[in-house]
Amino acid sequence: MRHLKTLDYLIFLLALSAVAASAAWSSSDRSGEAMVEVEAAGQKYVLPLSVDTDLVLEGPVGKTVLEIHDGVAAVTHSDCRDNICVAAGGISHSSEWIACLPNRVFIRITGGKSSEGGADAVAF
Amino acid sequence: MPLPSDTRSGRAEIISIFGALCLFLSAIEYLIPKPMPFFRLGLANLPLLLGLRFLSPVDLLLVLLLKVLGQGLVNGTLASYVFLFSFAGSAASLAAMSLVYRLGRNSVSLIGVSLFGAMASSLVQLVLAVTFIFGSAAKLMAPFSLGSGLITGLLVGWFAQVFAERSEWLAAVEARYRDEAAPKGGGEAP
Repeated sequence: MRHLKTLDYLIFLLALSAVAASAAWSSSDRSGEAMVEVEAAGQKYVLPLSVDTDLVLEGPVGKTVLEIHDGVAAVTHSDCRDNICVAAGGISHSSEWIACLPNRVFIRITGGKSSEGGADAVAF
Repeated sequence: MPLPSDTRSGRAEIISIFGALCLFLSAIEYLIPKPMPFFRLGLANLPLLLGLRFLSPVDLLLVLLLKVLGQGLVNGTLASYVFLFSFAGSAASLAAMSLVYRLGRNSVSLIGVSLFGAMASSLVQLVLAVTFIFGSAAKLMAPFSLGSGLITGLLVGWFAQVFAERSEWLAAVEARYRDEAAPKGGGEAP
C-alpha cells in the first residue's frame, strides 16, 4: 500500500508479536499447581493438593475432617446428620467440589488438571 | 463543516470541535454491537489521531479529556471504575501515539501511529485488569483483547490516513490553527 512506511511495518510486527506473546502467556501455566480451597466458618484456607494434610474444621454442628492424601482430598468424618460430604468421596481435579451444608464447609479444587476429557459418571 | 472565519478564539473552537467529534463518534460506536465486552472499535480515537498532526501537546490533552468525558457520558460509565480504565487506556494511547509520531516523523504513517496507540491502550487496560480486578483470570482474554486492538487499530489508522490526505476541511482547520498559533509561538514554525 502506498501509505505504509518503514516504521509502520515495524509497529505491525511488534503488535503481532505482542498478540502472539499474550496468546502464549494465556495458554501457559493455565494448569498451575492444584490447590484445595476450603471455606469453613467464614474462614478461607488454601492448601496444596500435593502435600498430605489432615484438617479439622469447626462448624455450627461440630467437626468436619478433611484429609488430603496422595493428591486426593476427601472428607472422612463429619458431625452432620446426612454425611453427604463423606459420601461425595475424593476429589482431585480442577473445579471438583465437596460441600457440607449443615456445617458450612465448602471445599473445591482450583488449578491443576481438569477432569474434562476423562470418563465421567454418565460416560462410564 | 465551514468554520466561521471571524471568530477570535479559533484555538478554543477547534478543540471543542474535536471534542464534540469524539462525543459523536462515541455515540456512533455505542450503536455498534460488541461481540465481546472489551471489543472496541476505537472510533473516538480518530480526532486525536488527526489532531496529532498539528495540535500542541496541551491542546491534545484537552481533546483527550473531552474524549474520555464524552465516552463516559455516552456509555454511562462516567461514575464507575470502567471510567478509570477508559481514561488510563486513552492516556496511554495518546502518549504512545505522540511518542511514535514525533520520533518517526517521516517514516511512519497514521496507520502505524494508530496501531501503536491501540496496542498501548489494550496493554495498559490488560495490566490494570490483571492487577486490580480479575487477577490472573484476565490473562485468558489477553490475546483477544490485544488481537482486537490490532485489527481495530489498523482500520481506524487506515481511515485516518486516507481522511487526512483528502479532507479539505481538515486542511482548513489545520491552517487556521497554525495561523493562530504562529504569532504567539514566537516564530517556532519550521
